[in-house]
Amino acid sequence: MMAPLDSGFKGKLTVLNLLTAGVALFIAGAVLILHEYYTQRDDLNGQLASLGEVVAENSSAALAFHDARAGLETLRSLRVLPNIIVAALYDREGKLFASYRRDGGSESSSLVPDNLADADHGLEGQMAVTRHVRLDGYQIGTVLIRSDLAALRGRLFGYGAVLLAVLYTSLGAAYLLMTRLRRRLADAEESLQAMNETLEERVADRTRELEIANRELEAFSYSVSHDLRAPLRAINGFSQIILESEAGQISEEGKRLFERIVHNSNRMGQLIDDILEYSRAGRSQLEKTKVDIGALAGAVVKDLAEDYRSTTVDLGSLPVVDADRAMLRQILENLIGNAFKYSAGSARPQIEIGLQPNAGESVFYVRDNGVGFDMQYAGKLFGMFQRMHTVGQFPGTGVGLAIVKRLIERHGGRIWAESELGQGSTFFFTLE
Amino acid sequence: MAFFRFTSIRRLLVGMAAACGLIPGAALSQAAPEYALKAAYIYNFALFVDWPAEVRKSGPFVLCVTGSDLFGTAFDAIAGKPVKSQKLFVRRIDGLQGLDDCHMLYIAPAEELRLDRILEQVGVRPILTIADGENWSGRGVMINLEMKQYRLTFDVNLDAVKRAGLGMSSRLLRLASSVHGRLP
Repeated sequence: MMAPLDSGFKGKLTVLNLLTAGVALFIAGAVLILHEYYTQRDDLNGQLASLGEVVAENSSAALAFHDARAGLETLRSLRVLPNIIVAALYDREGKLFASYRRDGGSESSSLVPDNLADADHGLEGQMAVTRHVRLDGYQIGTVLIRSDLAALRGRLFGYGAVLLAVLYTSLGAAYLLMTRLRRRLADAEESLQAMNETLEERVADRTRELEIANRELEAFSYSVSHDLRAPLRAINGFSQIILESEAGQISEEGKRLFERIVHNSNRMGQLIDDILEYSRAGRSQLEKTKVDIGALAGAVVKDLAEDYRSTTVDLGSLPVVDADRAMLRQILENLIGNAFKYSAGSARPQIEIGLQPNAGESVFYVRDNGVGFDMQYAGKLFGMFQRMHTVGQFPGTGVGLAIVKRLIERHGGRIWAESELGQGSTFFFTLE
Repeated sequence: MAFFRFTSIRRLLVGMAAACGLIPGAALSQAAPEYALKAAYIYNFALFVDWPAEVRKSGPFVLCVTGSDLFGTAFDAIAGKPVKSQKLFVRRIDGLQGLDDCHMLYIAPAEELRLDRILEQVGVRPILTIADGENWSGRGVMINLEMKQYRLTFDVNLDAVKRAGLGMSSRLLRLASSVHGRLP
């Protein structure tokens, strides 16, 4: 199932997106503003330089005739430019000749030192230019003009405000857009999720239906098998009656045919019994108790050994297990019975029953030295009606191992086998 | 004002002349400070006045001096200095003779009685007339120097300047304490 995106994660994603956009916008804006600032600084510097040139040109006579009043008048013409803090004229020796201060002299006098050599050009927040005053090609003085950068900085703040406004509105717009898109995405996600949920429901419904159908089918086959027994008994019984009471009136050929009917109906009855047993193995209640598997195996061996007197049985020590006693007995009867059956033809039939500890689980085994089977058919060994040998060689219906497998699986265990043709087989199983 | 730091007119004038940067220190000891300054002014006038192209030929730029003046050696300080592409040359003449080569003519106060005749002789020749008499600009001298309250000032007779076909820089005119005639 697809989990919906965590809302905290969504929030972080939004913040991250906005942050990225904001940083990009901010950097672009800041670079633009810085570029603008330096461009305007250069412009201002150029303006001041040409202003200095003009003032120098107009101050030459005042300096030549030592007319400080005229010099001051020239400098005062700068008052139309509010960014000019101070302007000063120095004579050829660099001594202060005339000076203009923007605010009627309140500007710090350190801005216009008595000697040009003391003038500081690199004052914070200011820009200064000096220009030589020339007369007929000879320098007769110097003009010093200082401008503040207030207008420039004011404009810079203006740009900053615009940048902030742009940041604010564009991030706001981006946020709105993102929430809208996210809502749409969430809607799509929801419908997908709803579809997933109904899908699961549908699968569960279908599974339930299948389970019911399977149970019905099993019940049906059980009852069919069960109901087949009665007519089969009739066939078998009446055939035997005919064979016994009418033996003189039917031919030898007829007698032989009736014997075959009896034989086959017997075999069919056996098959039906096995099917019913297999079915029961899947349906009966599992009742677990403490079972001494060693004692149980001993009892089974004792029952079966009567028919196989030449077979030696080696029963190892086995633990007490949690299992359904009846089912465990059936498992052991099948496996040990097979071992007796398939080893009976050996020169010295031998059966070994034991426990093989293996990585924390108990693996039981039943080994014989009988005919064995071809390992390439090992996969079919536990299938229904699968037989490795003909009925003539070894009697049986091919249901026993299928039942064993089913019973072991009901206990949560596994079963597998190893064999070599003519050397015997070993069946391993675990119980949970 | 800085002028009051000086204790005498003499020292004031020397200081001003030195401040103008036009007078070598050696000249000051020999010339009277007032006249050293006047000489510096006269030299500066040459720089703010334009003569017609035909008289600005190569050769010396001639400052003629007429009458017995009080400059002593003051003119030595400016003699040989450059005026645009020319070199300044000081020549003493008799007021009524040898005016042809002059670019500027200084008329000493001693010529008071002959002033009108001298000016008549100059006529409309492109010669900048300079004097330091009493209100002589009203009598037709183009630039008249005058000491006023420890300052050397000058008056300009603009009509005379124009009649002579000379051009005077507005920057110079602005410094004049009074101007006769219409401003351009």
